[in-house]
Amino acid sequence: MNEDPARPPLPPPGEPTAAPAPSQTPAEDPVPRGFFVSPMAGGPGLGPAMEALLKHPGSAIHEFTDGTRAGPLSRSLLWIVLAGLALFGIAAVDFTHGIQWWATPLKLIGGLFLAALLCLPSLYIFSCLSGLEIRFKTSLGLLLSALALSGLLLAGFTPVVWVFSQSSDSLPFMGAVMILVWSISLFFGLKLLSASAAALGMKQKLHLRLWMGIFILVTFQMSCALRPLLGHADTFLPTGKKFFMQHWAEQLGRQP
Amino acid sequence: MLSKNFRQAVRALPVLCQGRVEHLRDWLEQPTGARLAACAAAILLGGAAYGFTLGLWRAPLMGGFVAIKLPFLIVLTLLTNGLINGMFAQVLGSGLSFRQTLMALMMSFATFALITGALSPIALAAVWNAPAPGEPGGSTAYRTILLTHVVIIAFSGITAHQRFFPVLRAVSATPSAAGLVFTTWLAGNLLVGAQLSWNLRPFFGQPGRPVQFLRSDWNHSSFYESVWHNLTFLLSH
Repeated sequence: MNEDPARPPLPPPGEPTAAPAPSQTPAEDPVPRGFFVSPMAGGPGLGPAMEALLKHPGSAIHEFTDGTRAGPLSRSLLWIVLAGLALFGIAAVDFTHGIQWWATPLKLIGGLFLAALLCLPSLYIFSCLSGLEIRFKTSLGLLLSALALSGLLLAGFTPVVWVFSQSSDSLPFMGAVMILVWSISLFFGLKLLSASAAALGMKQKLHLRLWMGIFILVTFQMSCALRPLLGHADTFLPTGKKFFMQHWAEQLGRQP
Repeated sequence: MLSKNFRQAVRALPVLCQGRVEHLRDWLEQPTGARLAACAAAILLGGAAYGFTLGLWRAPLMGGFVAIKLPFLIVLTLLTNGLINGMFAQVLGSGLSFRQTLMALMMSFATFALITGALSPIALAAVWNAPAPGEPGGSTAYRTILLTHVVIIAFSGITAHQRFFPVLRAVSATPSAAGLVFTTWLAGNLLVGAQLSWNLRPFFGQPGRPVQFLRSDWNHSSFYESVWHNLTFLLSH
Protein backbone atom coordinates (compact mmCIF):
# COMPACT_ATOMS: atom_id res chain seq x y z
CA MET A 1 0.00 0.00 0.00
CA ASN A 2 1.16 3.46 -0.83
CA GLU A 3 -0.94 5.47 1.57
CA ASP A 4 0.14 7.22 4.71
CA PRO A 5 -2.22 6.51 7.59
CA ALA A 6 -2.64 10.07 8.85
CA ARG A 7 -3.76 11.64 5.60
CA PRO A 8 -7.48 12.04 4.82
CA PRO A 9 -8.79 10.12 1.79
CA LEU A 10 -8.68 11.84 -1.59
CA PRO A 11 -11.68 12.59 -3.80
CA PRO A 12 -12.11 10.88 -7.17
CA PRO A 13 -9.63 11.94 -9.91
CA GLY A 14 -10.46 15.19 -11.63
CA GLU A 15 -12.09 16.78 -8.61
CA PRO A 16 -9.91 19.17 -6.67
CA THR A 17 -9.33 18.22 -3.07
CA ALA A 18 -10.29 20.92 -0.66
CA ALA A 19 -7.63 22.10 1.73
CA PRO A 20 -7.88 20.13 5.01
CA ALA A 21 -10.11 21.69 7.61
CA PRO A 22 -8.43 23.00 10.76
CA SER A 23 -9.98 20.22 12.80
CA GLN A 24 -8.45 17.58 10.54
CA THR A 25 -5.00 19.13 10.41
CA PRO A 26 -3.89 20.96 13.52
CA ALA A 27 -1.17 22.70 11.53
CA GLU A 28 0.39 25.93 12.67
CA ASP A 29 0.27 27.14 9.06
CA PRO A 30 -3.06 26.97 7.28
CA VAL A 31 -2.89 25.40 3.84
CA PRO A 32 -2.48 28.20 1.26
CA ARG A 33 -5.63 29.03 -0.66
CA GLY A 34 -5.84 27.30 -4.00
CA PHE A 35 -3.34 24.59 -3.07
CA PHE A 36 -5.02 21.24 -3.75
CA VAL A 37 -3.38 17.83 -3.49
CA SER A 38 -5.28 16.16 -6.32
CA PRO A 39 -4.35 13.82 -9.19
CA MET A 40 -2.59 15.30 -12.23
CA ALA A 41 -4.96 16.00 -15.09
CA GLY A 42 -2.56 15.03 -17.91
CA GLY A 43 0.29 12.59 -18.30
CA PRO A 44 3.60 12.91 -16.47
CA GLY A 45 5.40 14.34 -19.55
CA LEU A 46 7.39 17.57 -19.67
CA GLY A 47 4.51 19.84 -20.71
CA PRO A 48 1.99 18.63 -18.12
CA ALA A 49 4.71 18.61 -15.44
CA MET A 50 5.54 22.27 -16.16
CA GLU A 51 1.87 23.19 -16.18
CA ALA A 52 1.35 21.34 -12.92
CA LEU A 53 4.26 23.13 -11.25
CA LEU A 54 2.97 26.55 -12.28
CA LYS A 55 -0.79 26.11 -11.93
CA HIS A 56 -1.53 23.08 -9.73
CA PRO A 57 1.62 22.18 -7.81
CA GLY A 58 -0.43 20.01 -5.47
CA SER A 59 -1.10 17.59 -8.31
CA ALA A 60 2.64 16.92 -8.71
CA ILE A 61 2.88 16.30 -4.98
CA HIS A 62 -0.05 13.87 -5.20
CA GLU A 63 1.93 11.65 -7.57
CA PHE A 64 4.63 11.26 -4.92
CA THR A 65 2.19 10.48 -2.12
CA ASP A 66 -0.68 8.49 -3.60
CA GLY A 67 -0.10 8.48 -7.34
CA THR A 68 1.23 5.75 -9.59
CA ARG A 69 3.36 7.88 -11.91
CA ALA A 70 6.09 9.06 -9.55
CA GLY A 71 8.87 7.58 -11.71
CA PRO A 72 7.97 9.22 -15.05
CA LEU A 73 7.12 12.48 -13.28
CA SER A 74 10.51 12.43 -11.52
CA ARG A 75 12.24 12.10 -14.88
CA SER A 76 10.30 15.09 -16.25
CA LEU A 77 11.08 17.18 -13.18
CA LEU A 78 14.74 16.22 -13.43
CA TRP A 79 14.84 17.39 -17.06
CA ILE A 80 13.22 20.69 -16.05
CA VAL A 81 15.89 21.26 -13.38
CA LEU A 82 18.70 20.37 -15.80
CA ALA A 83 17.38 22.55 -18.62
CA GLY A 84 16.61 25.49 -16.33
CA LEU A 85 20.07 25.50 -14.76
CA ALA A 86 21.82 24.98 -18.09
CA LEU A 87 19.94 27.89 -19.70
CA PHE A 88 20.58 30.11 -16.67
CA GLY A 89 24.29 29.27 -16.75
CA ILE A 90 24.68 29.84 -20.48
CA ALA A 91 22.85 33.19 -20.27
CA ALA A 92 25.03 34.40 -17.41
CA VAL A 93 28.49 33.72 -18.84
CA ASP A 94 30.63 35.82 -21.11
CA PHE A 95 31.65 33.65 -24.04
CA THR A 96 35.07 35.30 -24.23
CA HIS A 97 36.13 33.61 -21.00
CA GLY A 98 37.39 30.30 -22.40
CA ILE A 99 35.91 27.18 -20.88
CA GLN A 100 33.29 29.04 -18.88
CA TRP A 101 30.54 28.68 -21.50
CA TRP A 102 30.29 24.98 -20.64
CA ALA A 103 31.94 24.97 -17.21
CA THR A 104 29.43 27.37 -15.60
CA PRO A 105 26.25 25.43 -16.57
CA LEU A 106 28.00 22.19 -15.57
CA LYS A 107 29.04 23.64 -12.20
CA LEU A 108 25.54 25.02 -11.55
CA ILE A 109 23.96 21.64 -12.27
CA GLY A 110 26.57 19.71 -10.31
CA GLY A 111 26.49 22.15 -7.41
CA LEU A 112 22.74 22.06 -7.03
CA PHE A 113 22.53 18.29 -7.22
CA LEU A 114 25.33 17.97 -4.69
CA ALA A 115 23.54 20.43 -2.38
CA ALA A 116 20.30 18.48 -2.81
CA LEU A 117 22.06 15.17 -2.04
CA LEU A 118 23.69 16.65 1.05
CA CYS A 119 20.40 18.07 2.32
CA LEU A 120 17.98 15.29 1.39
CA PRO A 121 18.51 13.16 4.53
CA SER A 122 18.04 16.20 6.77
CA LEU A 123 14.90 17.18 4.82
CA TYR A 124 13.37 13.80 5.62
CA ILE A 125 14.29 14.01 9.32
CA PHE A 126 13.24 17.65 9.67
CA SER A 127 9.95 16.84 7.90
CA CYS A 128 9.35 14.17 10.52
CA LEU A 129 10.24 16.68 13.25
CA SER A 130 7.65 19.02 11.71
CA GLY A 131 5.02 16.35 12.24
CA LEU A 132 4.80 15.09 8.66
CA GLU A 133 4.08 11.41 8.30
CA ILE A 134 5.71 10.85 4.95
CA ARG A 135 8.09 8.33 3.45
CA PHE A 136 11.60 9.06 2.21
CA LYS A 137 10.35 8.79 -1.38
CA THR A 138 7.83 11.55 -0.72
CA SER A 139 10.46 13.87 0.72
CA LEU A 140 12.55 13.21 -2.40
CA GLY A 141 9.52 14.11 -4.51
CA LEU A 142 8.92 17.29 -2.51
CA LEU A 143 12.52 18.38 -2.98
CA LEU A 144 12.51 17.51 -6.67
CA SER A 145 9.28 19.45 -7.22
CA ALA A 146 10.67 22.48 -5.39
CA LEU A 147 13.90 22.39 -7.41
CA ALA A 148 11.98 21.89 -10.65
CA LEU A 149 9.86 24.97 -9.98
CA SER A 150 13.02 26.93 -9.22
CA GLY A 151 14.59 25.59 -12.42
CA LEU A 152 11.54 26.54 -14.43
CA LEU A 153 11.64 30.09 -13.10
CA LEU A 154 15.38 30.26 -13.81
CA ALA A 155 14.59 29.34 -17.41
CA GLY A 156 12.00 32.13 -17.44
CA PHE A 157 14.61 34.57 -16.17
CA THR A 158 17.09 33.59 -18.91
CA PRO A 159 16.31 36.55 -21.26
CA VAL A 160 16.58 38.98 -18.32
CA VAL A 161 19.95 37.53 -17.23
CA TRP A 162 21.19 37.57 -20.82
CA VAL A 163 20.35 41.29 -21.18
CA PHE A 164 22.43 42.08 -18.09
CA SER A 165 25.33 39.75 -18.96
CA GLN A 166 25.64 41.33 -22.40
CA SER A 167 25.37 44.86 -20.98
CA SER A 168 27.93 44.84 -18.20
CA ASP A 169 31.59 43.90 -17.92
CA SER A 170 31.45 44.02 -14.13
CA LEU A 171 31.75 40.58 -12.52
CA PRO A 172 30.52 41.71 -9.05
CA PHE A 173 27.43 43.20 -10.70
CA MET A 174 26.68 40.02 -12.65
CA GLY A 175 27.31 38.01 -9.50
CA ALA A 176 24.71 40.13 -7.69
CA VAL A 177 22.23 39.62 -10.55
CA MET A 178 22.76 35.84 -10.40
CA ILE A 179 22.30 35.75 -6.64
CA LEU A 180 19.14 37.86 -6.89
CA VAL A 181 17.62 35.67 -9.62
CA TRP A 182 18.62 32.46 -7.83
CA SER A 183 17.13 33.78 -4.56
CA ILE A 184 13.79 34.67 -6.21
CA SER A 185 13.56 31.29 -7.95
CA LEU A 186 14.53 29.40 -4.81
CA PHE A 187 12.00 31.39 -2.78
CA PHE A 188 9.17 30.10 -4.96
CA GLY A 189 10.58 26.57 -4.88
CA LEU A 190 10.77 26.59 -1.09
CA LYS A 191 7.32 28.17 -0.90
CA LEU A 192 6.00 25.19 -2.85
CA LEU A 193 7.77 22.86 -0.42
CA SER A 194 6.24 24.67 2.55
CA ALA A 195 2.74 24.69 1.03
CA SER A 196 3.02 20.99 0.18
CA ALA A 197 4.12 20.19 3.72
CA ALA A 198 1.17 22.17 5.10
CA ALA A 199 -1.22 20.30 2.79
CA LEU A 200 0.26 16.96 3.85
CA GLY A 201 -0.36 17.67 7.53
CA MET A 202 2.65 19.59 8.88
CA LYS A 203 2.11 20.39 12.56
CA GLN A 204 5.06 22.75 13.18
CA LYS A 205 6.77 24.90 10.63
CA LEU A 206 9.89 25.71 12.67
CA HIS A 207 11.94 22.66 11.70
CA LEU A 208 11.16 22.88 8.04
CA ARG A 209 12.06 26.56 8.04
CA LEU A 210 15.32 25.72 9.73
CA TRP A 211 16.03 23.16 7.03
CA MET A 212 15.26 25.75 4.34
CA GLY A 213 17.79 28.12 5.91
CA ILE A 214 20.39 25.35 5.88
CA PHE A 215 19.63 24.50 2.25
CA ILE A 216 19.99 28.14 1.18
CA LEU A 217 23.36 28.35 2.98
CA VAL A 218 24.54 25.14 1.32
CA THR A 219 23.64 26.39 -2.17
CA PHE A 220 25.43 29.70 -1.51
CA GLN A 221 28.50 27.83 -0.28
CA MET A 222 28.39 25.68 -3.42
CA SER A 223 28.69 28.85 -5.52
CA CYS A 224 31.95 29.53 -3.67
CA ALA A 225 33.21 25.94 -3.59
CA LEU A 226 32.83 25.67 -7.38
CA ARG A 227 34.14 29.18 -8.17
CA PRO A 228 34.63 30.90 -10.47
CA LEU A 229 31.18 30.72 -12.02
CA LEU A 230 31.83 34.02 -13.84
CA GLY A 231 34.97 35.53 -15.32
CA HIS A 232 38.22 33.87 -16.37
CA ALA A 233 39.32 30.61 -14.76
CA ASP A 234 42.80 29.07 -14.87
CA THR A 235 41.56 25.83 -13.33
CA PHE A 236 38.18 24.14 -13.48
CA LEU A 237 37.90 24.07 -9.67
CA PRO A 238 39.45 26.44 -7.09
CA THR A 239 42.73 25.59 -5.40
CA GLY A 240 41.96 27.24 -2.04
CA LYS A 241 39.05 26.97 0.41
CA LYS A 242 36.86 29.88 1.47
CA PHE A 243 33.56 30.64 3.14
CA PHE A 244 31.09 32.21 0.69
CA MET A 245 30.74 35.45 2.68
CA GLN A 246 34.49 35.97 2.51
CA HIS A 247 34.46 35.27 -1.23
CA TRP A 248 31.63 37.73 -1.88
CA ALA A 249 33.31 40.44 0.21
CA GLU A 250 36.55 39.99 -1.76
CA GLN A 251 34.68 40.21 -5.06
CA LEU A 252 32.85 43.37 -4.01
CA GLY A 253 36.16 44.96 -3.00
CA ARG A 254 37.66 44.34 -6.45
CA GLN A 255 37.74 47.08 -9.07
CA PRO A 256 35.14 46.35 -11.75
CA MET B 1 -12.09 38.84 -41.61
CA LEU B 2 -9.04 39.64 -39.55
CA SER B 3 -8.87 43.15 -40.93
CA LYS B 4 -12.50 43.74 -39.93
CA ASN B 5 -11.81 42.47 -36.41
CA PHE B 6 -8.65 44.53 -36.32
CA ARG B 7 -10.52 47.69 -37.31
CA GLN B 8 -13.11 46.99 -34.63
CA ALA B 9 -10.36 46.48 -32.04
CA VAL B 10 -8.62 49.69 -33.08
CA ARG B 11 -11.90 51.61 -32.78
CA ALA B 12 -12.29 50.16 -29.29
CA LEU B 13 -8.83 51.31 -28.15
CA PRO B 14 -10.19 54.35 -26.23
CA VAL B 15 -11.76 51.82 -23.87
CA LEU B 16 -8.23 51.31 -22.51
CA CYS B 17 -8.08 54.95 -21.44
CA GLN B 18 -11.62 54.94 -20.05
CA GLY B 19 -10.64 52.14 -17.72
CA ARG B 20 -14.14 50.63 -17.66
CA VAL B 21 -13.63 47.31 -15.98
CA GLU B 22 -16.57 45.53 -17.64
CA HIS B 23 -15.17 46.22 -21.11
CA LEU B 24 -11.53 45.67 -20.32
CA ARG B 25 -12.32 42.43 -18.55
CA ASP B 26 -13.69 41.14 -21.84
CA TRP B 27 -10.41 42.06 -23.55
CA LEU B 28 -8.40 40.11 -20.99
CA GLU B 29 -10.69 37.09 -21.01
CA GLN B 30 -10.70 36.96 -24.81
CA PRO B 31 -7.22 38.02 -25.95
CA THR B 32 -7.86 37.67 -29.67
CA GLY B 33 -5.20 38.26 -32.29
CA ALA B 34 -7.00 41.39 -33.50
CA ARG B 35 -6.94 42.91 -30.01
CA LEU B 36 -3.27 42.08 -29.55
CA ALA B 37 -2.54 43.60 -32.96
CA ALA B 38 -4.53 46.74 -32.06
CA CYS B 39 -2.48 47.14 -28.87
CA ALA B 40 0.73 46.60 -30.86
CA ALA B 41 -0.36 49.27 -33.36
CA ALA B 42 -1.07 51.70 -30.50
CA ILE B 43 2.36 51.02 -28.99
CA LEU B 44 4.12 51.46 -32.34
CA LEU B 45 2.29 54.62 -33.43
CA GLY B 46 1.92 56.29 -30.03
CA GLY B 47 5.49 55.44 -29.07
CA ALA B 48 6.87 56.62 -32.40
CA ALA B 49 4.97 59.94 -32.27
CA TYR B 50 6.09 60.68 -28.74
CA GLY B 51 9.61 59.38 -29.39
CA PHE B 52 9.98 61.83 -32.27
CA THR B 53 9.14 64.79 -30.01
CA LEU B 54 11.51 63.43 -27.34
CA GLY B 55 14.55 63.62 -29.59
CA LEU B 56 13.48 66.52 -31.78
CA TRP B 57 14.89 69.33 -29.65
CA ARG B 58 18.44 67.96 -30.05
CA ALA B 59 18.06 67.44 -33.85
CA PRO B 60 15.39 66.20 -36.31
CA LEU B 61 17.58 63.15 -37.00
CA MET B 62 17.62 62.36 -33.30
CA GLY B 63 13.81 62.65 -33.35
CA GLY B 64 13.74 60.04 -36.11
CA PHE B 65 16.06 57.76 -34.18
CA VAL B 66 13.98 57.96 -30.99
CA ALA B 67 10.76 57.43 -32.97
CA ILE B 68 12.20 54.00 -33.78
CA LYS B 69 13.83 53.36 -30.43
CA LEU B 70 10.94 54.10 -28.06
CA PRO B 71 8.50 51.49 -29.46
CA PHE B 72 11.50 49.15 -29.82
CA LEU B 73 12.27 49.64 -26.11
CA ILE B 74 8.70 48.69 -25.15
CA VAL B 75 8.73 45.63 -27.41
CA LEU B 76 12.14 44.52 -26.09
CA THR B 77 10.96 44.89 -22.49
CA LEU B 78 7.87 42.84 -23.27
CA LEU B 79 9.94 40.13 -24.98
CA THR B 80 12.59 39.98 -22.27
CA ASN B 81 10.10 39.74 -19.43
CA GLY B 82 7.36 37.85 -21.27
CA LEU B 83 8.29 34.37 -20.12
CA ILE B 84 8.94 35.17 -16.46
CA ASN B 85 5.88 37.45 -16.22
CA GLY B 86 3.70 34.62 -17.54
CA MET B 87 5.22 32.20 -15.04
CA PHE B 88 4.75 34.63 -12.16
CA ALA B 89 1.10 35.16 -13.11
CA GLN B 90 0.51 31.43 -12.81
CA VAL B 91 2.67 30.62 -9.83
CA LEU B 92 1.19 33.52 -7.82
CA GLY B 93 -2.29 32.17 -8.45
CA SER B 94 -3.84 34.85 -10.67
CA GLY B 95 -5.19 32.22 -13.05
CA LEU B 96 -4.02 34.16 -16.12
CA SER B 97 -2.55 32.20 -19.04
CA PHE B 98 0.59 33.25 -20.95
CA ARG B 99 -1.55 34.77 -23.71
CA GLN B 100 -3.66 36.68 -21.19
CA THR B 101 -0.48 37.91 -19.48
CA LEU B 102 0.81 39.17 -22.82
CA MET B 103 -2.56 40.83 -23.47
CA ALA B 104 -2.55 42.44 -20.01
CA LEU B 105 0.93 43.89 -20.43
CA MET B 106 0.23 45.04 -23.97
CA MET B 107 -2.96 46.74 -22.80
CA SER B 108 -1.00 48.55 -20.11
CA PHE B 109 1.78 49.64 -22.50
CA ALA B 110 -0.80 50.57 -25.15
CA THR B 111 -2.56 52.87 -22.65
CA PHE B 112 0.81 54.47 -21.88
CA ALA B 113 1.53 54.88 -25.60
CA LEU B 114 -1.93 56.35 -26.27
CA ILE B 115 -1.48 58.96 -23.53
CA THR B 116 2.06 59.91 -24.53
CA GLY B 117 1.08 59.85 -28.21
CA ALA B 118 -1.84 62.17 -27.48
CA LEU B 119 0.48 64.55 -25.62
CA SER B 120 3.11 64.52 -28.38
CA PRO B 121 1.58 67.55 -30.24
CA ILE B 122 1.95 69.58 -27.04
CA ALA B 123 5.53 68.37 -26.62
CA LEU B 124 6.10 69.22 -30.29
CA ALA B 125 4.80 72.75 -29.75
CA ALA B 126 7.07 73.14 -26.72
CA VAL B 127 10.12 72.14 -28.80
CA TRP B 128 8.98 74.39 -31.66
CA ASN B 129 8.91 77.40 -29.38
CA ALA B 130 12.10 76.67 -27.49
CA PRO B 131 15.55 78.07 -28.34
CA ALA B 132 17.62 75.46 -30.20
CA PRO B 133 20.84 73.99 -28.75
CA GLY B 134 23.64 76.58 -28.87
CA GLU B 135 21.28 79.56 -29.10
CA PRO B 136 20.86 82.06 -26.24
CA GLY B 137 18.62 80.46 -23.62
CA GLY B 138 19.39 77.01 -25.01
CA SER B 139 20.56 75.58 -21.69
CA THR B 140 17.37 76.73 -19.96
CA ALA B 141 15.31 75.24 -22.77
CA TYR B 142 17.20 71.94 -22.37
CA ARG B 143 16.29 71.71 -18.69
CA THR B 144 12.70 72.87 -19.21
CA ILE B 145 11.97 70.41 -22.01
CA LEU B 146 13.69 67.57 -20.16
CA LEU B 147 11.56 68.28 -17.10
CA THR B 148 8.40 68.46 -19.25
CA HIS B 149 9.14 65.01 -20.67
CA VAL B 150 9.79 63.60 -17.21
CA VAL B 151 6.37 64.91 -16.11
CA ILE B 152 4.63 63.54 -19.23
CA ILE B 153 6.22 60.09 -18.85
CA ALA B 154 5.47 59.93 -15.12
CA PHE B 155 1.85 61.05 -15.61
CA SER B 156 1.30 58.56 -18.45
CA GLY B 157 2.87 55.70 -16.54
CA ILE B 158 0.89 56.34 -13.35
CA THR B 159 -2.39 56.81 -15.23
CA ALA B 160 -1.89 53.66 -17.32
CA HIS B 161 -1.32 51.62 -14.17
CA GLN B 162 -4.28 53.22 -12.36
CA ARG B 163 -6.55 52.26 -15.24
CA PHE B 164 -5.19 48.77 -15.49
CA PHE B 165 -5.01 47.47 -11.91
CA PRO B 166 -8.82 47.24 -11.30
CA VAL B 167 -9.08 45.09 -14.44
CA LEU B 168 -6.37 42.75 -13.24
CA ARG B 169 -8.12 42.52 -9.86
CA ALA B 170 -11.42 41.69 -11.57
CA VAL B 171 -10.04 38.78 -13.58
CA SER B 172 -7.66 37.34 -10.97
CA ALA B 173 -8.60 34.40 -8.81
CA THR B 174 -8.14 36.48 -5.63
CA PRO B 175 -7.54 40.20 -4.98
CA SER B 176 -4.30 39.41 -3.13
CA ALA B 177 -3.02 37.44 -6.15
CA ALA B 178 -3.79 40.45 -8.36
CA GLY B 179 -1.80 42.74 -6.07
CA LEU B 180 1.16 40.36 -5.99
CA VAL B 181 1.17 39.80 -9.74
CA PHE B 182 0.84 43.53 -10.41
CA THR B 183 3.74 44.36 -8.08
CA THR B 184 5.91 41.62 -9.58
CA TRP B 185 5.24 42.74 -13.15
CA LEU B 186 5.89 46.36 -12.23
CA ALA B 187 9.17 45.51 -10.49
CA GLY B 188 10.33 43.30 -13.38
CA ASN B 189 9.44 45.84 -16.05
CA LEU B 190 11.16 48.63 -14.13
CA LEU B 191 14.27 46.52 -13.56
CA VAL B 192 14.63 45.42 -17.17
CA GLY B 193 13.14 48.56 -18.76
CA ALA B 194 15.69 50.78 -17.00
CA GLN B 195 18.56 48.60 -18.20
CA LEU B 196 17.29 48.40 -21.79
CA SER B 197 16.71 52.15 -21.94
CA TRP B 198 20.31 52.55 -20.73
CA ASN B 199 21.50 50.26 -23.56
CA LEU B 200 19.42 52.15 -26.13
CA ARG B 201 20.49 55.64 -25.02
CA PRO B 202 20.53 58.48 -26.10
CA PHE B 203 16.84 59.38 -26.08
CA PHE B 204 16.86 63.07 -25.31
CA GLY B 205 20.42 63.79 -26.42
CA GLN B 206 22.84 66.08 -24.63
CA PRO B 207 23.70 69.26 -26.58
CA GLY B 208 27.46 68.67 -26.44
CA ARG B 209 27.39 65.09 -27.68
CA PRO B 210 26.96 63.84 -31.24
CA VAL B 211 23.63 62.66 -32.63
CA GLN B 212 23.83 58.86 -32.63
CA PHE B 213 21.42 55.95 -32.85
CA LEU B 214 23.33 54.15 -30.07
CA ARG B 215 26.34 55.16 -28.01
CA SER B 216 29.52 53.32 -28.91
CA ASP B 217 29.71 51.95 -25.34
CA TRP B 218 26.08 50.79 -25.32
CA ASN B 219 26.93 47.37 -23.87
CA HIS B 220 29.84 48.25 -21.57
CA SER B 221 27.99 49.10 -18.39
CA SER B 222 24.67 48.70 -16.64
CA PHE B 223 22.18 51.31 -15.52
CA TYR B 224 22.53 50.17 -11.92
CA GLU B 225 26.34 50.44 -11.92
CA SER B 226 25.97 53.98 -13.23
CA VAL B 227 23.51 54.87 -10.44
CA TRP B 228 25.88 53.32 -7.89
CA HIS B 229 28.92 55.23 -9.22
CA ASN B 230 27.00 58.51 -9.23
CA LEU B 231 25.77 57.92 -5.69
CA THR B 232 29.24 57.10 -4.37
CA PHE B 233 30.66 60.13 -6.20
CA LEU B 234 28.01 62.42 -4.67
CA LEU B 235 28.55 61.02 -1.18
CA SER B 236 32.33 61.30 -1.36
CA HIS B 237 32.47 64.92 -2.64
